[in-house]
Amino acid sequence: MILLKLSFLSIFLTIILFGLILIVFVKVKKNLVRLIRLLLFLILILFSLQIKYKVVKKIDKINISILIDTSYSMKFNNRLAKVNKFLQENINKLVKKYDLKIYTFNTELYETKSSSVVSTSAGTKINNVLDKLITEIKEPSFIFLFSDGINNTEELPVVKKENVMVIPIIFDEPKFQDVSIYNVRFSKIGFKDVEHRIKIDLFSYGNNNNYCKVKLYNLSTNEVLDTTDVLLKDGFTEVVLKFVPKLVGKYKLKIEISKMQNEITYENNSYVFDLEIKKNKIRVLYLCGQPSPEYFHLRNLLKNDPAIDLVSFVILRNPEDIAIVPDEDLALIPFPTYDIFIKELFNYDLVIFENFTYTKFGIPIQYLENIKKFVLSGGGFIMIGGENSFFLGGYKYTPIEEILPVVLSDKEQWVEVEYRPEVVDYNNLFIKIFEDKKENEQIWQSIPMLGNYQKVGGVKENAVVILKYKDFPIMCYSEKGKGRVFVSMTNTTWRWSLGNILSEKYDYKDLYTKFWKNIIYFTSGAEEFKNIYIVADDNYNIGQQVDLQIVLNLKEDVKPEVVVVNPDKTNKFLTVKKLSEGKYISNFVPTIDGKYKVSAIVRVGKKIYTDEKEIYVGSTAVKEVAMLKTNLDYIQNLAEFYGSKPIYLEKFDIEKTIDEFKSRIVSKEVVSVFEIYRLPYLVLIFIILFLLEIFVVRYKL
Amino acid sequence: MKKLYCFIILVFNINFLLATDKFVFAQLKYPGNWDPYPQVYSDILDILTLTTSVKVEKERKVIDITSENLKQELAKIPFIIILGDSEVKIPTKSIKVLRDYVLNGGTIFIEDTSELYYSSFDTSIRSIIKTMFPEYKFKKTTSDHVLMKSFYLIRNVTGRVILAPYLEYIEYENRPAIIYSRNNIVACWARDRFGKFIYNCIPGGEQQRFNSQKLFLNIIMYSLCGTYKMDKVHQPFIEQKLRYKK
Repeated sequence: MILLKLSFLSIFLTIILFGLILIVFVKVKKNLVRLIRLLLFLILILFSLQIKYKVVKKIDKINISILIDTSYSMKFNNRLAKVNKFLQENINKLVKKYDLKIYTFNTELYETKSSSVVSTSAGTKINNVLDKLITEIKEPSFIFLFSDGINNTEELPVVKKENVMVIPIIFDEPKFQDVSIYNVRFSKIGFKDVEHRIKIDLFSYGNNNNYCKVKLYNLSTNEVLDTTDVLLKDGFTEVVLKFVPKLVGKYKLKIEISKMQNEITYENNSYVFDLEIKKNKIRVLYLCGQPSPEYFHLRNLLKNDPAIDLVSFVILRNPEDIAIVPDEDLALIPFPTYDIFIKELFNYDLVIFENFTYTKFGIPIQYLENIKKFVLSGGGFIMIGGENSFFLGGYKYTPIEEILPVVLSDKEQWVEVEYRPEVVDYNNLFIKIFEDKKENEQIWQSIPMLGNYQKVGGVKENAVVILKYKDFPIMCYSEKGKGRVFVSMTNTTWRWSLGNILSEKYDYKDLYTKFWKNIIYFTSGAEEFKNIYIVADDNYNIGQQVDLQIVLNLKEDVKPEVVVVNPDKTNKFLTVKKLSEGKYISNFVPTIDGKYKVSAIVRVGKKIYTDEKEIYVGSTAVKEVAMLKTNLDYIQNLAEFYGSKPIYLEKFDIEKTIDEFKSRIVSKEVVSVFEIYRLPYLVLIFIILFLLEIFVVRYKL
Repeated sequence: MKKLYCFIILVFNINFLLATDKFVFAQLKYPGNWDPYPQVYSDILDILTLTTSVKVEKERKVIDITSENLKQELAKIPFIIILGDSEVKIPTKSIKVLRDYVLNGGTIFIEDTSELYYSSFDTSIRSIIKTMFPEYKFKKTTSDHVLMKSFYLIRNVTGRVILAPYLEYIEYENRPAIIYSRNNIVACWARDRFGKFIYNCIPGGEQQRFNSQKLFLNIIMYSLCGTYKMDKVHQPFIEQKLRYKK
C-alpha cells in the first residue's frame, strides 16, 4: 500500500518537474524564478512542519477464535460437554456477526469446523499453543480459551500482541472432590539391603479431616511393602514410604491411595513405576601380597568412598615366617581361598591383586580359571606390580595371563628406580582429570616420581597404554569379553598422594584420588565409564517428547546412530545432533503406548559399541490426572499476562464480554500514516529546483 | 680413603632412594634429645622381617626437621617416628609441613621417653599438635582399637613403664593419623653390646616387655595396613580368639 503511494507521489512530482522544464523551454521566463522560489519555499515548509498524510479504513468484522482444550483432564466433570453445549447454543449467531474460527488443542493446535469436540488422551501445552495461534492470527482478534488450566509444561506463553485479547473461560465446580497422587520422587536405582525411600506428594480437595491409606506394593509378588495413614486437608501433603530391597534386579512397584467417596475419578489414586535394585554398592575384593604403603593409601581411598564396599585380605605372614607367639595371640585369619575364588567371587564387581602370588598358598590353578570367567562375564580385574606379580608372581601359562593386557616374559625384572612416567595420550579418560587442558598437562608433567616398575615383555594388541617409562608400559588396560582389566606396573602411586606436600600450585592428592576412582569405577563396569551409554528417563506419556542423550567415552569423535523400536516392532532411525565433545542428543515423540527400545550404535573401525535402553510410554498423560482441580493460579497468571480476566463458563456471555473488552484492542477505524516529508524524492526535487534557480538567475534565461 | 668414604655414602644414599614399597624406619631429628635409643631400629626391623611378610629397608632414615629438603624427604616416607624426653622445638613452617604430611596420608608416631607425668616433652608436643591440628583433639585407644589387633592381639597398652594405659591419637579420614605414647615402648627394645636388654620393664617385667614389643610391631603394621583389621571379615575370628584367651 505504502509502495503504491510512493510511486503515485513520485510520478506526480516528476510531472511537476517536467512542467517546469517545459516552462523554461517555452520561455516563460518572467515569473520562472519566482515560481522556483515558491516551490522551494513550499518544500521547506513540508520539511519543517513534518506533514503527514493519514489513510483511514473501516473494519467490517472482529476476528473471534474459540480455543478448546481437549486434553485428557477435560474429560472429567463434564467439562467438554459444557463447552459443546455452549458452542451449540452460540455458534450460529457468532458466525453471522464475527469472523469465527474454532480450534482444539492438547499439546498441538488443530483447526476444526465441528461444533462438537471430544477429549483426547494427550497432555496439554497451553503456552505453546497460544504462542503459535497469536503469531498466526489476524488482528484485531479475541481468543476465548476454554480450559481447566492444567498445563503440563507449567510455563506461561511468551507471545502477546496489542490487538489480540486472550480471555480464559473456566469451570465453576463447587462440589469438586478428589484425592490424587500429584508427584512421586524417588531414586530410580537402589541398593540391595539398603532402605529405599519414596516421597509422594498427595493432592486432596473436598476431603478435609478424612483419613486415607497409602500403600506401596511390589506388583511382581503382590506384596505390600509399606503402608501409612494420612490425614487429608485441602492442598498438598507429603508422604514418605520406604522398604528394604532384599533382591537385586528390576522391581515394578505401585503406590495406591484408598478410594474416598464422591471422588471425581479413581484413575489418579494409583501410580506404577519401575525401580532397579543393584548390588549393594561396588563390591571390591582386594588381595594384597604384603603390607605396603600402596595398600595403605588405596585402601584408605576405597574405604572413604561411600559407593564402594571393600573386602580385602593382606598376607601379613608368609608360610616361611617365624611365629614367636601361639596362633591365638595373632590377629590372623586363615586365608579363605575356597570362599574367595569359588563361592563368593561372582558377588564382586572388581578383584584387585597387588603383589599377590597364588603359588604360596596352595591355590589350585583351576581357581584362576574362575577369575578369567569372572572377567569374561563382566567383572573387573586389576593387577598391581611387585615382586609377586605378573611373571614373577608365577602367572605365566595361567588363565590370568590370557586376560592381562601385557605380555609376560621370562626375562621380566622388578626394577627400583626413580622416574616420572610419561603420559601417552592426554585425552585418555583416565588422564583427562582436570577440565583445564593446560593445567591437566602441567600437573601430569610435574607429578611426584614413582619408585619402581615391572619390566614386562610388552603390551598385547588391544591394550591401551596410558603411562609409560622409556619403552615400557607403566599402566594400561584392555577389555576382555564383557569385562575390563587394568594393570599398574608400579606399587608406588601412593607417592602422588603424599607428594602433594611438595606443591603449592597443584593438588596431587586430588589427582591420585580421582585417578584411582576412575580406574575402580571403569573396571567395575560403572555406567559412566561404558564406551557408549544412553541417558533418558524410563517413563513417558503419549505425545510427550522423549529426549535422549548419548554419551561416548571413546578416543575417536564419531557420531552414533540411534534407532528406536516402537511397541508395534517398527523401526525408526532418529536424527542425532552433537551437543559437545562426546555428547550427542536426539529425540522422538511416542504416538502409541507400550515399550520402546532405543539403541545407540557407534562404529570405530571394525569395532562396534552399543547401548540399549527401554522406555515405557503410558496411554494417558500422568500430569493430566495428577491434580484435576481447575488450576486457578495458572489461569489467573495467564489472564494477567494478556491483561484480561478469567470468566466462569456458567456465567459467560460472549457478546457482553466482546463489548466489554473491544475498546482495548480495536477502535472503529484503523489508521495508517503516510509521512510526506520523509520522501527521498522530495530532497532530490529540492536540489534540482535549487540548481535550476541558480542556473536561471546566472544565465538570465 | 676419602674417595672410599664418598663412595660408601653414595651407595648408601642410592640404596635409600630406591626404597619404595618397603617399610622404612624413619626418625625425625630436631634440636634437642631426638635420639634416646639410637640402635633399637635394627632389632625392630629384624623381628619385623623374621615374623611378618613386611619387606624392610635395613638402614634407618633420619629426617632433619630443620632441613631445607624436609618436604622432599617426607614425600617418600609414609611413616615417621618422633622420640624424646625434653622440650621439642619445631619451627612454625615445619609444623605446617607436618600438618600437610598427615593430611596427605602420612602417619606419625610420637613417644615421650621421659617416663614423667609432667614432662617438658609432653607439654611441648601437645602444644605443637594443637598448633598443627587445632580442629582435632586427642582420642584414647580402647581394648578393641585397631592398634590392639593389627597383627598381635594385645589387651593392655604398656611400655617400659605404664604411665597411661592407652595410646592417644588424632583421627583423620577415619584413621589414627598421629599416635602418641607416654609409656616409653621403644626402650623395651634397647640392648647392650652383649645383647642383653638394658632397661627393666616396670612393673610387669619380661611379660610386659614382650607385650610392649608386640604393641610397637602392631603400630608398624598399622602404618602399612591401615584399619584393615577392623574389617568385618576379621571380626568373628578375632572375637573367637579373644574368647579363647579368656
